[in-house]
Amino acid sequence: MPTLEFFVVAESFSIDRQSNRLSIFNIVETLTAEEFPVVLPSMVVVTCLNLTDDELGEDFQVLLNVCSGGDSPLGGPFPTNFKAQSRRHRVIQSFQGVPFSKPGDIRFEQTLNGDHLATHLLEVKHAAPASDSPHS
Amino acid sequence: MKKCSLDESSVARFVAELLSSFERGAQFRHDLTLAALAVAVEATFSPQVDLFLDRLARLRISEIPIASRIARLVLKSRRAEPSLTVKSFALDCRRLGEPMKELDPLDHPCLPPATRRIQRAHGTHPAPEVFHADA
Repeated sequence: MPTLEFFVVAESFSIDRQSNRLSIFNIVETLTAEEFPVVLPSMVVVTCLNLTDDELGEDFQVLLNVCSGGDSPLGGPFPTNFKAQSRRHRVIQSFQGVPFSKPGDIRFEQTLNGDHLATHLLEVKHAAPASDSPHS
Repeated sequence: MKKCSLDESSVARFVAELLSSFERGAQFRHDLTLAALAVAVEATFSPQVDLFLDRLARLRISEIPIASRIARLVLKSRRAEPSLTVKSFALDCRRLGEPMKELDPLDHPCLPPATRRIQRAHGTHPAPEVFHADA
């Protein structure tokens, strides 16, 4: 079974065309809002896997579940299938318009072929309204 | 280069030295050497190496048939590993009932509240495509 190299939830990513290097921007750890619901314009879930030579050519499925308590605040689960073509494989699940209806802990749980792979915890907080005055 | 005993400029000088013996219409005698150099720098990522491989790969001349083909293969290999799968999902904001607040870039929820400007645009978030689990 492929092993996990890293798993992270962030706002955006970029892959250099020349070098194929991956950059991940603004890892999402805490989200604060004064009013709910609020929407995060974009979010990416990046999973990097190491595979063995024996696994090349095989089909795999990662399945992302987003849970908060007993709820699935974003719907889903979000499946992504891929065929292993090299010893390292990146799976990027990209979301547009991610709504958060209330404060709480959001768990992003990734499974690979049904087995738990990794979890990322996002803390959604309610922030007290700030004053318009910069001096208060 | 990995052991820092060679720098990029010395590679560039070496290539220039090889090319000084280039003659139009005659088989380039350092063709294989250039091809070997392309393979040697496969795992080296820098603007100069990128330029070297890119220009070599674009060559379509009969004098340097092997090195240019090898450079194309090296570039292909550099870009293929690791492999990548990207899948996009659009979420259904309407299921929350309330219209979403449009976010001002300076009022981003991932920023600490202390650094955020209190300036929120009012309105509704553009209706996204509905995600279906079997998509």
